[in-house]
Amino acid sequence: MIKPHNVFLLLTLMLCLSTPAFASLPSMAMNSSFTLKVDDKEAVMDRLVLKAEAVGGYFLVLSDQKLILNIPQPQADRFIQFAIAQGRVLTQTQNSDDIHTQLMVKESMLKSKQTMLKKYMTVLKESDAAHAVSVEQALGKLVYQIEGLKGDIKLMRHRLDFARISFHFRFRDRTTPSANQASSFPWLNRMKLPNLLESFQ
Amino acid sequence: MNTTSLGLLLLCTLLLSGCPSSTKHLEGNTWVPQGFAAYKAAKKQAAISPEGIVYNIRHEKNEPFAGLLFWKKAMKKRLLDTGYIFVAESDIQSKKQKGYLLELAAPVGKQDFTWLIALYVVNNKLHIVEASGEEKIFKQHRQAIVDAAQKVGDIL
Repeated sequence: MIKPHNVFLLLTLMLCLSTPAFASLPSMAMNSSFTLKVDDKEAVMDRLVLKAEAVGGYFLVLSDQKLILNIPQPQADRFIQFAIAQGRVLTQTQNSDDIHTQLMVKESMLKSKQTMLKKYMTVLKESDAAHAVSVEQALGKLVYQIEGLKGDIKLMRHRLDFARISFHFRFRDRTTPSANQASSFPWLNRMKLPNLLESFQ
Repeated sequence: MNTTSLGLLLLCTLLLSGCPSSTKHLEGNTWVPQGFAAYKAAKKQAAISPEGIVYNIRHEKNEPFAGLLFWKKAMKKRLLDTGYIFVAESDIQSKKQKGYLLELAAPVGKQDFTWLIALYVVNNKLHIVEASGEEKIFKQHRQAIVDAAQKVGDIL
């Protein structure tokens, strides 16, 4: 048996879904993490922060080995392509959470609590001194819940608007291979990459 | 056969013999990776891609005489000790021969290069197939190079 409260919630959800504001929101919160091996960590970090700012993003964490950025979702793929071209990717993880439904539930809860708040205000105006205290207590609880919901919604919308991209850096050793000692096997002494490349010059 | 036909035949033979040697080489040699052109080099079977990925087959004496297991260990140890970065290794199996495939990386100037080596040991000869180039471009040709290296085992 479907309760009237659930029907109301469902109808609110459907209404929310059909509104242009929801239609334009991405449905997934994106999180990506990369370990990059780079020659010059500081230079790469600077380039990534500058690029992030240029596309409307910003950095959350900028430490010795780690950089966490928030990048507008529509720019995220292009930004990642730019970032991975800065070095060699050692590890890469990408995940996305579908928080769209949770957001819609919170939005509908907020609307119903705001409606309830208006009713409580009316009741408060009409109530006598004896009942006013209990109505005020209920009002205080409701306002607290509404503020909490507003905070959650703001956070969730931000998570949908911005992809969080983390980078960990490793230094790439660019020492050219060189043999300090000759091998006991003569043909292995001739096995050198420069020899191969020079034979085509 | 009349003189006109004989003349035509001679003309055709002359024209055919004047064709560029690289085309003849590609068509006649299965060792050239797909998308590569045979590269003229002394005593070598060499090929190159349009972007400059190089491919080469050379032969060494099997001295001291040993099998594939011995040489693959010796080669890997030597190259890693020298400072090349290990990327991957596997067996390579042609229709006739079993070989060893070693993939390494090394910086060349400001770029990262891949160096792929296939080794076959046949009696008293070591057959070494090498290919190298900038790692991102190399990736695009990797399969063609491995396929060609595999075919080398069949024509030894």
